[in-house]
Amino acid sequence: MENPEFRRHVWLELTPHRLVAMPLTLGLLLAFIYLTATTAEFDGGAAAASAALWIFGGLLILWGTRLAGDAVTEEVRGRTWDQQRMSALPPWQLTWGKLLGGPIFPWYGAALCACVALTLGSAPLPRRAAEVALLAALAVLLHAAAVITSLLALRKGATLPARTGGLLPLLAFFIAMPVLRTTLTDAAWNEQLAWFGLRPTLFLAFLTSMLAFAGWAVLGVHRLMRAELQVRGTPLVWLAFLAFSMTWAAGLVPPELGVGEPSTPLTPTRLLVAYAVAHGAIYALAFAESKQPVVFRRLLWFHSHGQRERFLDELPLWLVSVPVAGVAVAALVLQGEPAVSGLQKQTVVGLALLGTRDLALLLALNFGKRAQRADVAGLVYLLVLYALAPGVANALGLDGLRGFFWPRADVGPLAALAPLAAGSLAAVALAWLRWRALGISAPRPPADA
Amino acid sequence: MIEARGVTFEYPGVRALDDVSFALPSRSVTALVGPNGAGKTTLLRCIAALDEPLAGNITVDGVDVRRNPRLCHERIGYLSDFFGLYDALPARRCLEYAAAAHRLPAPELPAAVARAAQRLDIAELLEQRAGELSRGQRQRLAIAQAIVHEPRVLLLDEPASGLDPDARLALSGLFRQLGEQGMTLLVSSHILAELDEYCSEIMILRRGRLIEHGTVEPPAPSQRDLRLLLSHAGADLARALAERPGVSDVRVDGLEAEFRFAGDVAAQAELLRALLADGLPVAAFGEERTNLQDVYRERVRTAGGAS
Repeated sequence: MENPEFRRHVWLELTPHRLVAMPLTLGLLLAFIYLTATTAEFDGGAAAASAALWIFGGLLILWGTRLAGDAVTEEVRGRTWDQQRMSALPPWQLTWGKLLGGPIFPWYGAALCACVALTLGSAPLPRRAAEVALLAALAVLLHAAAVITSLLALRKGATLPARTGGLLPLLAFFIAMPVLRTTLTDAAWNEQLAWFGLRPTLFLAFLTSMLAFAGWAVLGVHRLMRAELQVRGTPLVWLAFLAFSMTWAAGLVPPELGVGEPSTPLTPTRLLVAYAVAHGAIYALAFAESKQPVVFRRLLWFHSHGQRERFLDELPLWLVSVPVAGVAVAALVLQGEPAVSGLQKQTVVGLALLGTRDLALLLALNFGKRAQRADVAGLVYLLVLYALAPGVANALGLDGLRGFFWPRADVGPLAALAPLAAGSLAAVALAWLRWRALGISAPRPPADA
Repeated sequence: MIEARGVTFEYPGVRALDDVSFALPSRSVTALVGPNGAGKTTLLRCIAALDEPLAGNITVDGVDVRRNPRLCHERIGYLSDFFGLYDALPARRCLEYAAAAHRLPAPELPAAVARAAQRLDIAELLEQRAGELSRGQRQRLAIAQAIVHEPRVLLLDEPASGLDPDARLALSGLFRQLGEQGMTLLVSSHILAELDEYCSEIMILRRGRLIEHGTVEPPAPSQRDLRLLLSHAGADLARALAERPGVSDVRVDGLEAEFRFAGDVAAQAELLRALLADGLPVAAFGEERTNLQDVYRERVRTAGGAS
């Protein structure tokens, strides 16, 4: 399929010089490994194949992730992003044009490495092909995550600085290494993993998970690209992804972690894990998305004027996720006493109250007069609230004060939850007062509206 | 061709556009003027579906910009104030990409590129990398990118900045030609004298509000603005003019007077003869052509007085 964005990257990245240099360099490197590893007892081909597989991963994970992130940020820095947004390219073309086109040169090298790995490896061909597929899926996931990071920064009115772009490969390395060290082993093909009632091998579990999350990540890029191109959408895709992630994580709960009665051993723990995923997603999005007053003003305007489509389109995803987390909390609280203890319920409600406090605090900071670095300030405040303040309270032996920062397990529900509720209420009141202080009035309707 | 109704746009803490409504006819070439921060760029970006207004509707060639932004982009060409180019690509590739990204079929690309390059006089630069071009050449390449897909509507934000006088003159000719060929142009610029060369309409924005939208065509032949200059003081110029038939809107500033005159050139000659017969020391007398600068000054002055 003709894709101008992909073709532009090919023009830029696959120059004749590079097309020759890459196979020459890789060829020399792998030949060197082959020749030095070959002995009377040992086939150097296997060593070369193994090296090719690691180079395949290295090229895509380290270099490719950087280039994928740059596929958006370099457009913004070069002031060509508006030109792309003004094009008539559909979001899907721009998505795959950037995802595949940005890191096309590392993909070129990786393809050559894959040929070596598939040809020379000593393991059975299906296994070698599966390992290449897993690495490719991991690369796609990381590349899409890099593009998502760039687009989210852009939507917040910022551009990832060049030095931050350089951190992406480092981050990718730390994510990828544990995966590779777990999966590129013989054990991964023998050990099994429990996922709900299924017992796939570790490798199969990783491969299918990686493929699924890579697919979601590409869909995520597509959704953000749609938004950048002013194409309307709804939060349904996000909700579907959140539900998928919660289910996926809940399924990983090992049977030995079940609590309560044997008849319903795992449901509460799985619910707790699902809630933790939703809770984490809310925090991640709350920091990633814009919370400027104008965002909420637009929402109020659309809501009051019955513009449901635009309201849903611009609804922050962290806000959309709150009811999902609420459902998980309610499901946990409504569990019978033997399955979930009163203390566990108390802890979950306490965490939900803390979440409310933190979100309100973030909003209050963003509604301030000088809100340029509100999210950074929010991060510092959360550090104080979760670590420094309880640490000081603990050091001074002020147990009552400690209860304002973490759910206490040594007191009854009322004594444990009342301080947390008070903290949440105070934060909500602060956010409300700051919103009111902005003095924002409803926009006048157009003359002919 | 471009219709806006009640367009309101807000940045954090700032209302950049406030209930802006207008309709631009097809084939018109409109100057969008106003002081810095008036909302010109925001309005262009809203029309181009790059930013979405809080309220109001914009249609381009009958297509709702908000509902169908990608279709609008096929019909719009846009040159941003702070544009960028793909510096590592030859100019030909830049144009090919711009044309293909606007969904021109592959077989039509070479002709479209050649046409745009010829219009902007950059045909000889096509094999040079964009990063190697001078500022003026880059500006022309950027304009060529904006028109390579033959859009129905062309939005230009400060298109002549960075161009030398010759290139500006050529650009004026190009815009006039594009208008005559059926393109609708909306041009934002600070250089009013330049806009005067090719604009038929003017829109003035001030503090996010549209304070004027009208034509800059000269008044009808029967209604012309005349200017009179005396060599020295001594006569009551305002009274002498006001008494004459066909004279209205007299504005006197020292030895100089401007007024509206209803009459043809013969009547104008008769008026001059009468004024001289009255003993007025006329040093200069002639038609005062209205230009964008005058319209802008007058409208801003009126709006300033009203506010």
